[in-house]
Amino acid sequence: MIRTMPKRNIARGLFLAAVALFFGAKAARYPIGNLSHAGPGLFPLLISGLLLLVAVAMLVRSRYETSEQLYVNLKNITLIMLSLAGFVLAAQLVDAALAILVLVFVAGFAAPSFNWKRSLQITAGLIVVALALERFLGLNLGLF
Amino acid sequence: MKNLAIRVLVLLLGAVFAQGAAAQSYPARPIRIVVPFAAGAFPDIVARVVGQKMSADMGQPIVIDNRPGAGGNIGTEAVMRAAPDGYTLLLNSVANAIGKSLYPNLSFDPAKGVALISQLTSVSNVLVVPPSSNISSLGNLIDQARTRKLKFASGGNGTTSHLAGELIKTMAKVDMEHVPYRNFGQALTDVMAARVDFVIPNIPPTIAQIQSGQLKAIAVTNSRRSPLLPEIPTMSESGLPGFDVSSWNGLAAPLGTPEPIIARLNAEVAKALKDPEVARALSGQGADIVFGSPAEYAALIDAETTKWAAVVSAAGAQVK
Amino acid sequence: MDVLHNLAFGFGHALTVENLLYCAVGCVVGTLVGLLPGLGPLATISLLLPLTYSIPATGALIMLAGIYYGAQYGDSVSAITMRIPHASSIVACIDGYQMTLKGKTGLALFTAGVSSFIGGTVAIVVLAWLAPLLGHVALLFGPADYCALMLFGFLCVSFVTTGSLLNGFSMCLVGVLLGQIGTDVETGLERFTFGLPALADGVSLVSVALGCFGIAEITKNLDAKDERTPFNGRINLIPTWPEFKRIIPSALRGSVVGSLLGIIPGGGPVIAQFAAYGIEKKFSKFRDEIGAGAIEGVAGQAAADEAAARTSFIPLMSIGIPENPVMALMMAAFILKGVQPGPNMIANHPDLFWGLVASMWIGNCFLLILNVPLVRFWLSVFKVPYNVLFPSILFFCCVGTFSVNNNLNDIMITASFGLIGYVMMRLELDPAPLMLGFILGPMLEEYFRRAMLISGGSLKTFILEPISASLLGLTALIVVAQIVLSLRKRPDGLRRGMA
Repeated sequence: MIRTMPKRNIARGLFLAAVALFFGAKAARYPIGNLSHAGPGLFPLLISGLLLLVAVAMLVRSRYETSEQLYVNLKNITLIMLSLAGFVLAAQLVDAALAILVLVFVAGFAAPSFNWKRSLQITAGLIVVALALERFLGLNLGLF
Repeated sequence: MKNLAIRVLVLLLGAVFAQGAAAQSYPARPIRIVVPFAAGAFPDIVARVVGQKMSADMGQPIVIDNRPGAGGNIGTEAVMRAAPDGYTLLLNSVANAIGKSLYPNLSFDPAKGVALISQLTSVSNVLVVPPSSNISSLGNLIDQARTRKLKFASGGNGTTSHLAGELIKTMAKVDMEHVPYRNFGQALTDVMAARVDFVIPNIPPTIAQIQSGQLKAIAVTNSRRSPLLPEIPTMSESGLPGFDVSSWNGLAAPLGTPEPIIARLNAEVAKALKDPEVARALSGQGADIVFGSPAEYAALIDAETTKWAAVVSAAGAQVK
Repeated sequence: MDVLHNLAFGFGHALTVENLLYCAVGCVVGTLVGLLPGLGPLATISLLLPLTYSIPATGALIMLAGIYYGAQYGDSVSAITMRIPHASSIVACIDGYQMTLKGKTGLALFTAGVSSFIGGTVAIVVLAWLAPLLGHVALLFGPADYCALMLFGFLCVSFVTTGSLLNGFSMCLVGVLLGQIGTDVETGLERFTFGLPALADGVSLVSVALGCFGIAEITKNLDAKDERTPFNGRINLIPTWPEFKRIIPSALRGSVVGSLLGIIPGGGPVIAQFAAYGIEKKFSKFRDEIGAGAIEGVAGQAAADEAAARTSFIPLMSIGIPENPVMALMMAAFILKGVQPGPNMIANHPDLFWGLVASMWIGNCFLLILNVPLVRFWLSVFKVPYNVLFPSILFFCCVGTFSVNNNLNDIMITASFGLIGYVMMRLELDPAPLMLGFILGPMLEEYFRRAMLISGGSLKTFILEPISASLLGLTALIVVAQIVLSLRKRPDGLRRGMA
C-alpha cells in the first residue's frame, strides 16, 4: 500500500509549519503579560514563531533542492494505532487479559504473515508475564 | 470470556445477598487505597502507614494506588467511578475541598461526591523564613509588607501554601508577590538561599531544615501550637486572630458503599490510629492524629469547602 | 583519613549477610525492571515499598537504592538492542542502536556495563568525600542561574543531531512546544490540554520517549523489506584490547559530568546523559565517528547516567531536599523507616549513611559481575523472530506507560506520540533533539519567568548573578566559535547552503 506522496523536504516544511501554526494559534489566545509577570502565552508564541520561520526557510530551500518522495505505509501505522487503542478500550471495558488478546491480534496483521496459532501463543505468553508483574511487582493491571 | 461470566455471576449473587452478609465476609480480597498524589508525598506516607496497620488487622493486603494529576482530581474521579463495594478507597484531603472552587469547570464535586469514612490526620503549615532574614515575627512581617513588596514562595497554584499566603494578604490587607514553584523542594531551596522572603509549607517536608537551623520558623498556621514546635506561636496568637489553615486528610469510599462496610472501616481506622507505631510515625512528622465519625468528617469538609471558596475567589486562583 | 575510617565503618554494616542479600536483590530487580521498556525505577520503588516494611532500615534503603542504580544499567539494554529508551537512556538510542545495526550489540552492551561501573565508582568517591560539603551547591543556583544552565544545555542540540542542523533545531523547537502542554506553573492556566484531565499535568517523558522511539521504530521495522533492521546483523561479543582502551577515557569524562550534574537539583541522569554525549562529541579523539555507532557515544553517557543517579542522593542526604521524583520517593522511604533525611542525618544515623555509601560500591561490583556475563543472554533477544517480538514490545510499552500514573488513558497519549514519531521518522526528522527540547524547554520557561518575577522584571539579574553571567558568557563564546569555525572550514558548503 504505497501511495504517491509529495517530496520529502516539502512535506517536512509543511509538517513543521502546521505544528507551529497549531501551537501559535492557541498560544495567541493566552495572556502575554509583561516582563515581570510573563503570561502563559508569551513563551509558546515566541517558540512557535521561531519554528514557523524555520519551516518557511525549509520550504523556500526545498525549491532549490532535489528530494526523494515521501514514503508512508498507512496499513502498518494504522494497525499499530488500532491495536493500542483496542488495548485501552478492552482493558477499560472488560479486563487486561482480553486487552492483550486484542493488542496481539490486531498488531499481528501488520506482520508480513499473520498466523493464528502464533498470535495465540504470544497472547498466552504475555498473560503469564502480566500475571508475574501483577503478582511480584504489585502492578495493578486488572488482569481478570 | 470465562472470567466475564464469573464476574456477572458474582454481581448477581452480590445483589441477591443482604448487605449485612457482605459486611460479615468483608474483606474477602485485597483493598485498594487510591492516593491522588505522587508516591512519596505526605498523603502517600499517611496512606501507607495507616494502610499497613489496617491490613494487618483485617487480614487482607492493602494496595496503595498512586494516581497523581490535576490537583488530586484524576485519582478522586477514578474512585467515584469505582464499584461501591468497599474494595476501592480514596485518601482524600484538603485538596478535595479546594478543588471545587479552584476548578470551576469540573463535572463532579471532589469534596461531596464520596462517602466519608473518617478523618486521619491534620497537618499544620508553618511560615518559615531564611535564617539570615530580619523578619522576626508575624507582626514584623506584616509591617515590612506595608513598606516593601514581600515575595512568598509556594508549592504551586491552589496549594495550601499558596492560599495561606493569600489569606495573609486579605486578612492583613497587604500586597505581596506570589512566586509559585513546581514542588516544595525548589521552593525551600530558594527560601534557604534567601531569594524569596518566606514560604508557608506543611510541617513534614520542612521539619529537618527547621530543626537544623537552615530555616527559621515564625508561626504555625493551625489554631493550636504544634507539639513538634511548641515554642512557635500560632498565626492566630501573633496578630491575625481566626487564622486557621491546616492540610488534613482522611479516608473515603465511592458513594453508595454499604453502610455496614463504612462502619467497619471506621472502626478499623480507629483501631489503626490508636496503634503506638502508627502514632509515632505520623506525629514524628508533625501531623496531629484526628479520628472522628463520618458525620464529623463531613462537617469539617463542609466548613473547609466554604472557607476555601472565599479565599480562592479573593486570590483569583481559579483554573480556567 | 576520617573518610577511610568512616568507609570501613560503612563496609562493616554493608557486608553483613542480610545487607549483602538486600543489595543483591535490589540490583537484580533494578536490572530486570530496567530491561523492560518504560518501566522505570520510580514505579518499581513505589510498588516494592511495601515489601520493605518488615526489613530493618539500613537493609531496606540499601535494597531500594540498589533498584534505582541497578535500573540505570538495565535502561540502556533496551535502548541499545531495540531503540526503546527510558528517561535516562535516550542518548543510548543514538550510538548504541547504530552499533546494533552494525552487528556490534555485544560490544555496545559490554561498553555500557563497564562504563556504568566506572561512573558508579567515581560517584561514590564524590559521595564519600564531599557529600556534606556539596549539599550546599544546590543552594548556589537560583532561577537566573538555572535559566542560563538550560540555555547552555540547548547547545547540545548540535551534538545529538545526526542529520542537518536546521532539522535538529526545528525538532528541538517542536519538543519545547510539546513540553508546554499542561498546567502553567505560574498562573495555573491549562495550556494545549483540550480539556483532557489526562493532559492536565503535561505529557510524561515516558510517553514521548516510548512513542517517538519505540513505537515509531517498530512500525518502521514492519514497513521495511529492504531497509536494514537489527535482526539480520552478525553479532560480536568479545571486545578487542584497542576497543577496550577506548572505553576508559570516555567513561571517566562522563563520570565527572554525571557526578556534577547529579548534585544540581533538576539535573540528574536525564540531563547528564545529553551533557556527557555532547562532551564526547566535542573532545573525544574519535569524535568524528560519534553518531554512527562509536564506543565513545555509549561509554560517556552510560557512565554519566550511573554517576548522576548516585550523586543525586547528595542533596537529599545533606540538606534534606529531594531533587527529582525518585529522590522524593526515597525520602518517603527514609521517613517510613523513621529516619529524617537532612543536615543532621549523617550525624544521627552514621551507620545508615556510611552503610548505604559502602553498599553502593558493593552493588556496583555486583552489577558488573551480573551484567557482563549476561550480555550473551540479552543477545538471545535477536534469536526471537520479529513477528513474535514486536507484539511483546508493544505490550511492554503499554505497561511502562501505565505504570507512570496507573492510568490507562496515558496509553492513548503514548500511541499519539507513536503516530507523530512515525511521521517524523518518515520525514527524516530526528527524535533525539526533540527529547532534549522537551526536557529543557519547560524548565527554561519556568526559571526565566521565576527569575523575572523575583527580580521585578529586570533582565540585569542574569548578568548580576555570577553563575548565570559566566554560563551565558560561555554559551555565547561557544556559539560564536562554532560559527567562525564552520565559516572557515567549509566556505563552499556554506555558499551552497546560501544559494
